[in-house]
Amino acid sequence: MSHPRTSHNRFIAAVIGLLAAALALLGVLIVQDFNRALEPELQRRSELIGTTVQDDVERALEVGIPLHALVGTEAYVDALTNDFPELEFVLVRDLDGTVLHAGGNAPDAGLDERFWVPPNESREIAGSLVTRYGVDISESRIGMIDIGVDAGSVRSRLEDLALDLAVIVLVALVVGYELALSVSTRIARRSRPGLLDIRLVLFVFVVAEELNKPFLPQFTLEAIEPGAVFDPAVAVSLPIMAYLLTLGLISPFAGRLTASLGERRLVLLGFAIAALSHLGMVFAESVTQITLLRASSGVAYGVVTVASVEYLIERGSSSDRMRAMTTFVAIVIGGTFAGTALGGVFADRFGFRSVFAISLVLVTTAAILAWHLISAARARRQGPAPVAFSAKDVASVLRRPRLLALLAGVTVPMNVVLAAFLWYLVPLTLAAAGNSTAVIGRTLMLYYLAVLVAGPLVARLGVGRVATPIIVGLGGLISGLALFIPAAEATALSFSLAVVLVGLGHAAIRGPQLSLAIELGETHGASAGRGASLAAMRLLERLGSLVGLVVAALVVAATDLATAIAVLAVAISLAGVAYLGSVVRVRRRVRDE
Amino acid sequence: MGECVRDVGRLAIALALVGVVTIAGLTGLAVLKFSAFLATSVGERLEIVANTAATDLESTIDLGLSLDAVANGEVILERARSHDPAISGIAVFDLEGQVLHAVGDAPTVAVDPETYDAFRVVVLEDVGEAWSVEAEGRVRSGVVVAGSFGQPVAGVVAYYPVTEMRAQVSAIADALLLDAARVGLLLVLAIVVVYLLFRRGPADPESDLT
Repeated sequence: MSHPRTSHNRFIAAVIGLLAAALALLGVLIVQDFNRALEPELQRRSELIGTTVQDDVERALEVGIPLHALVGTEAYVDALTNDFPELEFVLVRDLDGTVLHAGGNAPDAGLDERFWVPPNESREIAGSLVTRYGVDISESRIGMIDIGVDAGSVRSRLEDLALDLAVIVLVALVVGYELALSVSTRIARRSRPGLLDIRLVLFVFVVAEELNKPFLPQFTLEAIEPGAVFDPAVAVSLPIMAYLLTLGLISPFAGRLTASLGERRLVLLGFAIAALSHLGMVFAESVTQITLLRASSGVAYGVVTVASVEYLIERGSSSDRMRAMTTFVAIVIGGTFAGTALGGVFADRFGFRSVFAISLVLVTTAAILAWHLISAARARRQGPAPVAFSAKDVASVLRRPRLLALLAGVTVPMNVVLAAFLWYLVPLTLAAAGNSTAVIGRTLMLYYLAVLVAGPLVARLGVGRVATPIIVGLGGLISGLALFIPAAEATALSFSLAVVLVGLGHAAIRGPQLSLAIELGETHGASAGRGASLAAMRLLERLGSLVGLVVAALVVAATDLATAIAVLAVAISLAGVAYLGSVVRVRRRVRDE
Repeated sequence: MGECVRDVGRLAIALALVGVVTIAGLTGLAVLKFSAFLATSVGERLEIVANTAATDLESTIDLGLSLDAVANGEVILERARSHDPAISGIAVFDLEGQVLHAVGDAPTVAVDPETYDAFRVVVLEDVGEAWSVEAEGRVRSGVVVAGSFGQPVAGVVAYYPVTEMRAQVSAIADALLLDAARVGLLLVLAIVVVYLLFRRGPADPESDLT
């Protein structure tokens, strides 16, 4: 026997599974098409290096230097390898095949017969793609040049492209999943507004807001005028600071705004502010303009997300709260994941400013969706109005040791890692190492992917045997320890690994810590209940992350990026250890009593 | 029960549409990615050519000649251009953007604003030694020419018409559209099959109890 709702859900799950398979299949076909189309283009680069070397040698011979008397081949090849890292060696031979000059990392086997390549042909030998060019003077051949290029260079670039495509396939899957859920909800539950009404609206908005993540520091860096007041490291962090500040300041009051304006109006107000901000960013020329516009984006993000949280919480019972919060986190993380990855792809092709124009279009789309999808939901609002927030609530939170420990040991450090490491240090360090915006976007999105995949698993664990405080404490500690990896060696791979580990750590924190904060707030009576704890926590965590970002920027200005990451790693790890210690102490005391 | 089947039917149509839209989105993004990758590759290829010319010009500077006094400037540029016949022009310009030597369809008086802006960013912010921008139907890639003490003294820019690139992008777009159409059709068929299986489900006497 099957309930119709179960039947619907099974059908939806089956179709989403089919969609995932179709996207994976298309991804494989696209990679094959790309390889076919791009391999000749990439080979042309190798050929160009070869003909350049050939031309240089011939010109030296034209001025009368005999082939065997050429000097400085090694220095010449060393200079070339600076410009073309894939160039491995150059061998100049006479017509008998005797090597007269060698430069670069020419293997001893270069003298071997295996290295005999017919003129104007290429052959892969010992990991090098060796191409032979003739050396001609007055149309008569007097020698040959073998150019060895790393055979893996073309392959690795195509593999890199395949990785980018895998990211795009994942983004398409996340977007398809959100669309499928939204459409299904409208059809299957069309007479009853539910939790999923706001899902697509919030998702599209978050995508729009996150498109600039991979390049905002670089965008700001390019806007710095010579002779600016601030050190570039600090100036680059200003837009992120302004965003965090306004987000932190508006969030506690957004709950009251929701009560007076209603979710729909507040969401639309937030969209209007966000749209104006993105429009301004298209034309922004100075760090001051960028900072002010990002500050308004913080206001928009604050009111929209708080209105959405209220919407989700008001429609769930106390027992559903954890699930509602997990749903909210999943939408935000899914949107951030898609936005970050897409932002890198768009910026690579269209440039930074065009991405803000795309954000503007997406925010407008979200507003239209909100207008239609959450219009009836307001009338059905249930439950008490959000608790009014005041400065006393902050003091009240700070007076409660367990809530304060959660804030200082887990919530603030998590937000510091997000703002200082993920949004500031990762883009700056990777860009400084010459990585493209797409690579930066791909690295950042690994964080959101890890949270997206591990989040539901942790939520299940949370309602099981393992105590929530232990889970969030371990999550904080993991995210701190992970930062030691790029602090020790700043490569794209080490950053990717650290970002994944930070994501896994934060997956253990994100949903559970909200529910824990609500629980700790409620255990302290109605006067300092859910609304007050959440609002105060929002304010404190954002102000905390702001301070963390300021410190990180100052450390960068005083030392370098790697030192700032190391300082962050130590601080976050210590906070995690301290929180776990406090949890263990409380549990021991409770057990003793 | 009838309404339930009708709902699943509507769901099937809606989800098939979502599937097709998602596949179309993926295809569009893939074309975008290809075109970005191709632009970068072409830019890097142009950079090699510009670099060849810049190296030759730096040798003349080392001999004590100023760039505008180099008699065979055009010969140097033509030789560099001969490495890649697709390159439509090469120019050498000073720190003010005034052209000193040019071949092919490169500007002969002053370089275009896009090229000069990119050059200034590289020189002023000391971010690498090369740049690549795409504007007004041409890819422009260049490198900085360094003086005897490593200081920037000029720029070399190579121009490449985007028509060839566009043809390559158009070819890949055609191929991807074909793949997307095949996969989309497969997906729709699979959804129809799943729908039929779900519709047959209630025929089970136990399911009728619902």
